[in-house]
Amino acid sequence: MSNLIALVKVELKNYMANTNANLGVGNKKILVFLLLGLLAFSFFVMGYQLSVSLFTGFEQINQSELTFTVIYLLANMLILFLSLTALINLFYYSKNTGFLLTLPIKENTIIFSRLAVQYVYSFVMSAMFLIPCYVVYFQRASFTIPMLVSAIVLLLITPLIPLVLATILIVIIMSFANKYISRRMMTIITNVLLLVFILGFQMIVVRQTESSSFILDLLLSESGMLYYFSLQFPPAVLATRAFAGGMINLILFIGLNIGLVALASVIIGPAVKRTLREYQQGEGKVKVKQAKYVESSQLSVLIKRNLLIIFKNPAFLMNMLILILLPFIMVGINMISGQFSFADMKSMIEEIGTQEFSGILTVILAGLLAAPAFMGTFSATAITREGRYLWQLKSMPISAELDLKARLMSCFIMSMIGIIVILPFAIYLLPISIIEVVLAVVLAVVSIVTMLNIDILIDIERPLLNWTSPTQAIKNNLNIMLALAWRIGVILLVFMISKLLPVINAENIQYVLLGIMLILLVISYKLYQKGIKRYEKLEI
Amino acid sequence: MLDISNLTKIYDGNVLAVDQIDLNVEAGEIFGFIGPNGAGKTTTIKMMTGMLNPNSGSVKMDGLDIQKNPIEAKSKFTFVPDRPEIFDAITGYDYLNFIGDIYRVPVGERKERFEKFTIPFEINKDLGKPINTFSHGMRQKLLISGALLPNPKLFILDEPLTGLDPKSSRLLKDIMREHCNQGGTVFFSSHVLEVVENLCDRIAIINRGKIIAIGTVSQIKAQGDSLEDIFLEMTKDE
Repeated sequence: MSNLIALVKVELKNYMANTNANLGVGNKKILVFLLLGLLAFSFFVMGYQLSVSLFTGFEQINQSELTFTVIYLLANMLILFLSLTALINLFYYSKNTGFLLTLPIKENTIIFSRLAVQYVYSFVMSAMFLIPCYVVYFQRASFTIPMLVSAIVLLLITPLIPLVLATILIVIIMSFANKYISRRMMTIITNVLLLVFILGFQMIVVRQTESSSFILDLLLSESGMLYYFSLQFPPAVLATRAFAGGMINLILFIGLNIGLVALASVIIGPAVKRTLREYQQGEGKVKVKQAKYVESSQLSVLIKRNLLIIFKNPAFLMNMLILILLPFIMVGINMISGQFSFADMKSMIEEIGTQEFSGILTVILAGLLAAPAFMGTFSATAITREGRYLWQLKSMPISAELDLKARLMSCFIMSMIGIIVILPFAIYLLPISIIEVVLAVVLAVVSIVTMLNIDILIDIERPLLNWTSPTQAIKNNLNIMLALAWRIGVILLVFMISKLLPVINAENIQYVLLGIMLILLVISYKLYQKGIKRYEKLEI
Repeated sequence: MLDISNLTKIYDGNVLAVDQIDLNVEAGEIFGFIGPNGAGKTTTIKMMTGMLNPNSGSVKMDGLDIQKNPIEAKSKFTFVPDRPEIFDAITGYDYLNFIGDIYRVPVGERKERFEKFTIPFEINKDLGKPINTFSHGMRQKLLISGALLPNPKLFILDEPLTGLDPKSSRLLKDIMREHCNQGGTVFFSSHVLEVVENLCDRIAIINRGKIIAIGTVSQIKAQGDSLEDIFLEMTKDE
């Protein structure tokens, strides 16, 4: 136990220090608090609005505690999804796992210490949803001390169930990593399968509820609505009853959590013992390539290097694939589960098309095409992804301009893959003319180039090169948040312009956006020239 | 070949890591750079290779200032760091071809040049495998082979013998000597005083960011019994 406590303390300190470093504000604690406070406030406002809307609806059917149920389900699903990739990286691809394995500690201890790190992250995430929900409920429904106690206990243990479920799923599947394909591929396949499994499960459950007998049972039962919501995640029944003041239910819920943690340690123990060591040995099956002597230009080998850094790292590759393919995965699962058919979707889009929203359709198409670049993880981490390898390019006869050009082009290629994949489907589905398609592509390309330029400037200012887990490099860092922030700023600007100037409407909004993007492109180009000089001076 | 003048590095505005050092390495010589931990060796090498910007002073490679003409100056040397951290998901062949492309090694000469160093280092048969399957020593050998591939005028190595087996250490020392015999220059840092003593034409001792001795081994040894005694005497705490 003392080993576990010691390791958890070190892991948490390391996590906090990394989070602090990722914020890029050095030792300025006030700035850290301000930044984190601003973030927490933004999420609180969103969570509060959501809770108010839910409460208003559920109050009408006299079941206001369902506000908690829905928020609890939302928090759990979010933790479950985000934990899958994060835990795979923390367990199997963290650079210090090898060192930890040399220490006289059990493999389970390593896994639980990593879970503790993810728990902190998940706790913050669930708190951002649950605390506003508590505030709304206590303000508008009722407030008692036992309820407050239950709320605090629930807040503390909410992340446990999704984390334990994610751990069991990951460890079991990774322990079956096939020796005949590379582990990298296995990790990617595992991630996709897990996503499909969880989404599919949700959809099948929802589909089951569509039967008339189910709806009849639901209406006849006092707790029908609670069971309805909790079908997707059964512990929500106990959690909701515990929240509503049932002390026995709270004890049962705590027991369920303890039982699951104990069960997890029994189930994953043997698998962890084997897999943790196996994954430290690199690829399971080594593919030996033949000698080849080929010549390429400096630019093309640098682009190839940048792309390979993504393709050869499971976390980076998964992130890229999800960005490009997630809309398809979602639509596909919806269709398979019968949520809505292809025809339903087409008729819905055609309805929009008939309402003189041609400009909006162009913007929607451009938005779809630029969606992978919009998330910012290609470009705002273009230098960060290099990590400790950057010394090599800095000591080589490569100009900063060429190096950055290669990074920009690599990001552009990835964004183009998104366009190529999405465009045919979008053209088929959207009632849009060729001219509008061309305009949408132009708008998308201009937006992508602008986004890439500005994001790389952000990364030049504060690259994070000493990451230990790939998740740190591509997620959970301020560069990506800054990239998202300025995009939201542009959207707000367009919204304000459209409100202030009546001449701007749904038919010509695309030109306003294009104009803003072109202005930003010119500004970003000017800044980019300064960025090259900054990159030249970058110290490692 | 290498001309360092008044080179200074101050970290975070107050930590003086390298203090106005002057150093000159002639073409054709093996130059050893020694000093205790934290003396400023790696900081100096990082400034020489363009990874850090000096606060003042200059580094010239074959007359080219690395601050003013970085590309041309960097074309004159190759570098092997103390820790072989390279993008390791690619194969050894991919890595060597990458170096070949960056330093413009003609494709027709690559097979011969790949084999010139990878066969003696006994990693030739493993070049088709991903680097992440290599041991620390194999990675070090691959980095050295890659650095020698463009036949650089100046070969810079930071603690190159760490992780090498005795046979490979000997081979590297022979390669360094041969490189100099063919007109090249070698600059390396090391903690192994015996190697420095036996291999180098000239050495410099750095302590607390300052060069405290520079000259041929015999010139420095004239001040005491052995290089080790002199080193310990010069670098002891005041």
